[in-house]
Amino acid sequence: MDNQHIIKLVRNNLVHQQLWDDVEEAKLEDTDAWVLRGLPPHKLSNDDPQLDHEWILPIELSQYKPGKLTLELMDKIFSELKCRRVTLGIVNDDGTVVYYFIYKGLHKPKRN
Amino acid sequence: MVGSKVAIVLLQRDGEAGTPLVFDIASIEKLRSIGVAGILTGTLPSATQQNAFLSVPLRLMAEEALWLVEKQLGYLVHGGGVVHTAAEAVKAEDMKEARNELERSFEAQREFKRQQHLEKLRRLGVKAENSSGTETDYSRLLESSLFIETCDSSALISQRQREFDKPEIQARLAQQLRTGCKCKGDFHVYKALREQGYFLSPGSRFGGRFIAYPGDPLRYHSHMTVQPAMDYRRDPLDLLQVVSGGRLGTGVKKLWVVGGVKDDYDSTDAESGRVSFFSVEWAGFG
Repeated sequence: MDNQHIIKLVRNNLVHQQLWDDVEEAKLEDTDAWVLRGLPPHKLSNDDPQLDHEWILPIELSQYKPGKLTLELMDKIFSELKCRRVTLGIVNDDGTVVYYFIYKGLHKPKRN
Repeated sequence: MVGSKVAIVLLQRDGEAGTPLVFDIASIEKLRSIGVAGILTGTLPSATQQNAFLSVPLRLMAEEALWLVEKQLGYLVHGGGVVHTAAEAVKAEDMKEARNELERSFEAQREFKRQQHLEKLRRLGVKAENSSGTETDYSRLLESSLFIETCDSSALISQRQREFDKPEIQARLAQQLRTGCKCKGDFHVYKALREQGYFLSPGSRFGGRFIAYPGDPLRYHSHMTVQPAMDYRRDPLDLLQVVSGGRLGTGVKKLWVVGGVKDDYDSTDAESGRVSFFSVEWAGFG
């Protein structure tokens, strides 16, 4: 998966707008996808036991051509990262980034 | 075993796959106990616009009906023709038997009421007047208070319906119903969620294919809006859908769930291995 060109943009957004610490880039073996790993300034969900590092997958919001993220690819990313959830960093062509949790399997809604 | 199966009437118009309906109240109760809630759709001709307290028939989703047939919990019955054939098959002796049955019910009611009347007189210490054979005010009152019971379901029709429970007829009707489904993968998604104990109802209220409840919908809020099935290897995730669905889902406290169906999966194993689910929600920032 080719997402190297947006990794810096998402990294900058995390570090300077969302104030994350410790943000690092990494390339996955199996899928050739670039991911980020970082520590958020506070717990992201009330259901999390403690503040922990999160995995972020930067991905481009392509409105006019088909996307590349299949569920099979998602499974491969999960099996390589061995984590509970991956946060999608969805990049629009105007530079905005929105973040969505994606959990493997069926999951309960978070408590407020 | 056949008797305990639920009859699902498939109401079809020309060239239509049909609408699965259940008319029998005992059957509806049974369906609910096995995790199929359906939607009650029956209303009164005099109150057609009311939609809060609806009654039979219960409308099922196509996936629900197909699942019930596959699990041998129900069978499909073709259309409204059964009512006509059952009515035409009624003979003179059947009518006579029905009248006798009614007369027996009247006699039982008279006997019960007479007993109650005597009991009441005895308690009040009044001596009963012996007036057998003559028409008194009391016997006239008694005659006018007799009830005619109207049955909830017809024995004649259910007998006709059971004739549809043959493998070749079921296979044909199920095939017709299947051709009406827009997305074949949805049935696998339905089955996989049923295997995990979820109650499912139609999802258009929250912009999905199904809404999934962790138990009976009268006791629990739903947890998920399930999207139309995707091909596990080929269909890309539409990120604009992820954003709009995830945002709406988080607003109504539901996860936005997608299921990818593997078309090369060996069908003999459990359905949960065929479908790979992912749950999406807004991360709370950005």
